[in-house]
Amino acid sequence: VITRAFLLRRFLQSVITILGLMTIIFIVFRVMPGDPLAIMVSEGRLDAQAQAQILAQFGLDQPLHVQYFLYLRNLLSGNLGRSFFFNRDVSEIITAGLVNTIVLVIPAMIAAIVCGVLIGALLGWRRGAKLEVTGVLLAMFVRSLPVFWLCILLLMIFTYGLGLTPSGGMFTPGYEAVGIKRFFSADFLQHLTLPFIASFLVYLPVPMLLMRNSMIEVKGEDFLELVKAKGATEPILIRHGLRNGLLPVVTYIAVMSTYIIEGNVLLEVVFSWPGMGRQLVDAVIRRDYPVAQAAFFVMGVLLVTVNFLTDILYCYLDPRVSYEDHR
Amino acid sequence: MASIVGTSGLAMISASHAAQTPGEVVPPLTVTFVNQPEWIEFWRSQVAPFREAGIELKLEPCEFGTCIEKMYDQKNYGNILSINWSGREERIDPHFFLYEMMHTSRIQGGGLNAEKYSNPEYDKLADEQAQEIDPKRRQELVWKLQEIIARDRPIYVLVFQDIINAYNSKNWTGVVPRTGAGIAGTSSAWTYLNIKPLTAQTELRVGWLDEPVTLNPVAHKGTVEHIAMLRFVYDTFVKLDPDLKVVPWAAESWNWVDNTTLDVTLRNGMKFHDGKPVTVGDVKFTFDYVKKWNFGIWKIVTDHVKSVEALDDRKVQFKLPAPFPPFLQNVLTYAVILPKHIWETVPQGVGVDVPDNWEPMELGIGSGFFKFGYWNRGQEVYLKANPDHWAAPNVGGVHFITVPSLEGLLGRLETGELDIVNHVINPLEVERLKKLGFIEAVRTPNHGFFMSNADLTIPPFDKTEFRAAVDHLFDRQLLLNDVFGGAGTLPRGGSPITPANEFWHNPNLTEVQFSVERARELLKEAGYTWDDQGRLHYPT
Repeated sequence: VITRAFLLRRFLQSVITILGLMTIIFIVFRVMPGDPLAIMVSEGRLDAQAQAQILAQFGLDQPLHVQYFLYLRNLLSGNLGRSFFFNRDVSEIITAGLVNTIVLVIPAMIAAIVCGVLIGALLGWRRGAKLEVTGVLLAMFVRSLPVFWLCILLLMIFTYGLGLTPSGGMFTPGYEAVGIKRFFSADFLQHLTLPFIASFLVYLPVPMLLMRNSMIEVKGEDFLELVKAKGATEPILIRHGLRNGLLPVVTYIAVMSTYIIEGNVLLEVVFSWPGMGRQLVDAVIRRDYPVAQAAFFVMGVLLVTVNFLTDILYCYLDPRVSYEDHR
Repeated sequence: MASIVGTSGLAMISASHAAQTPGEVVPPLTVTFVNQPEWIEFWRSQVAPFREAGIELKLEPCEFGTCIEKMYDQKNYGNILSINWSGREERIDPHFFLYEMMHTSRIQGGGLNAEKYSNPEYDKLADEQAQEIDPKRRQELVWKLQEIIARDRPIYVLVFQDIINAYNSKNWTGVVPRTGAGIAGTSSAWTYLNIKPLTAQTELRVGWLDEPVTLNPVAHKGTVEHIAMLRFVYDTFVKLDPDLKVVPWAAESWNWVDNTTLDVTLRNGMKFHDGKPVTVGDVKFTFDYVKKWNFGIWKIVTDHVKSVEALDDRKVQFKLPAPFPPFLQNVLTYAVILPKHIWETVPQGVGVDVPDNWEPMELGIGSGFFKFGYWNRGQEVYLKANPDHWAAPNVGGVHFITVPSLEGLLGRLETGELDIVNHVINPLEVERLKKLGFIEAVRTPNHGFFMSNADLTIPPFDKTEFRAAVDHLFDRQLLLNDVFGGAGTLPRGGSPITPANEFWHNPNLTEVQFSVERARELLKEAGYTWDDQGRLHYPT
């Protein structure tokens, strides 16, 4: 049961968290060493007048507190500003990267969660069996592999060894990609295969191990004995246990959702995938405040929102969790 | 407080750093360098020889942008900086390295004289060569400048690293190497014009690390390669041929009326990609337009062009503010012809505040041998061949594909997904790639270089004797052999002009040998001493 007061309080907390986050982001980018101008002009070099002109164009000639309020106002009104580096609207840049990341990360994440939960539940149920020992060992092994190494290994086998998949990118050069249809083309799916397998393997172990652990706990509880006494078969028992053991996995999904924004930088570099992760790193290296700020901001808002939703989702998954005011 | 310290005819403005007390220990030297693997490897190996000479090093790698800011904007980088200079087209003429990096006027602001070298004798000769039209007399001046550098050692040029590019030789033929650009660098158009397919695959696929920031030819961003690539779409007036000679391009011929007046005749029958003819009106418009907006990236042009007037329907006259001998190879290889009918509406007609902020995309119309095809951001830029151009390429088009790691680039060359890699590769990689049987590598000299320089206003580098001794501590051979796999040329007498640049390089200079003993000898001669712990002390 959720009361309105709880919802309001939780919502206000989220808003305060986001405001705090915005302030921290602002400060961090101003105290970081390096000057965006230095990158902009790199080897070209500009004279003082041209530099001042560019600073004024981006409002960087204003005192810091003025910049701060401008920044708050713009972000809150959804105006993410213009990239110093690309001179394009930040929202345009971020959207492009976000879409590219989403088409890779979301399918891989869903597949990893579904498989992870099912396999994990089975492993937990069969505690002590050979299957469980092998499964846990494999999960630990995959989990401890460095991401870039895993990616390169996959490339070695499937691309350079067997010649089955292209070595990177989203499309074959020359493929004129437009519209949503491009994500359903054979060319795209071919390019998606390896990064998808890699992301799937990276995402799989944690939900799987979490599910296994909570299944072991749930297995000993009384309600299951009751279900068993009613004469339920093993698959039905596992299903009952699964629903009750799902809570830790749901918490983890909230954490996992930030992958959508941060993508997987190393994976994106190895597979030359033009996603959000690479954009974020490049933006920080280039001191492109507006892009980096916006990326962190979107990531933060997403995390806070997902956490908020998770709290609510809890009571539906487990009726024992209640947010009634006890005062 | 400014004081003048005279050292063998060298006057120097000393900064507020207190001069050292005689006899004191030479403090550890702070070395700031770009955190590239080459520099990290090099400086780690330099700690030992410096220590043998009694000098401790404090290594401070920094990220490129931060480095540039410390080195050239603030000029506050500790004692020594290390950076590399790419072999851009306008750097083939000796003016850039001799003037921009060592003239007193370039200490201020964002100038490139990071060592703060200031020598009136040098400045005078540097000014003279900048105005000397006669090549033979200018060569004399340039040689003299290099003699002064060999004497004063204001900078330490370390290695001119060769450019090694690899391509698929089974499917393609006709690559053209050029100094500073290799076979793949876009600052040389010749490979892109000359290369021929040996199979049915006529689309050339070139891989590089970074994608362009913009395809706007007046915007102030972009790396050398991207800016040069735009010269495929927009015609320049002249080009440098594979032997670095100026050859006609959009300009069919030219004639110096006097030291500051140049008449240029345009090639007949040139057309923009939308079918409109190229006229003297477009040429005049282009120069008036860049003058009016004063684009930072066109500074080399606006600095050296006072005005442009049409003389008849094929002839234009350039007026220079002062004589500038490398005008053709530095200015007219860079300036392009913009179509007036498109750019006269920029910025107001296209909804931007200043022309720099415009992204032309399909309106990226020039008269060049390639046309804009499309730009899949983060993935590739496609240029389509312009079959109507008088120098039309043999390929159907060229894909510039972004692959964010060198391993990825080479991997795609191996799988046949790329035809040329536009990035320097190590000779060790070349051996491996050659075994595949369809990849060939081409090695080209480079006039760009890896260098270090010290802040000459801070002791101990304020003394020529000290600088000369330290020059022997730089293990250039190690940088060349161990880091670059032997692919490169060592400098002579510290000159920033590569020996491969035969006309301008002073042939009387010799290589500075790596020798800790020699360095110690020179230091001893200059009165430096060592204590029990082997630490170097200033002369008493």
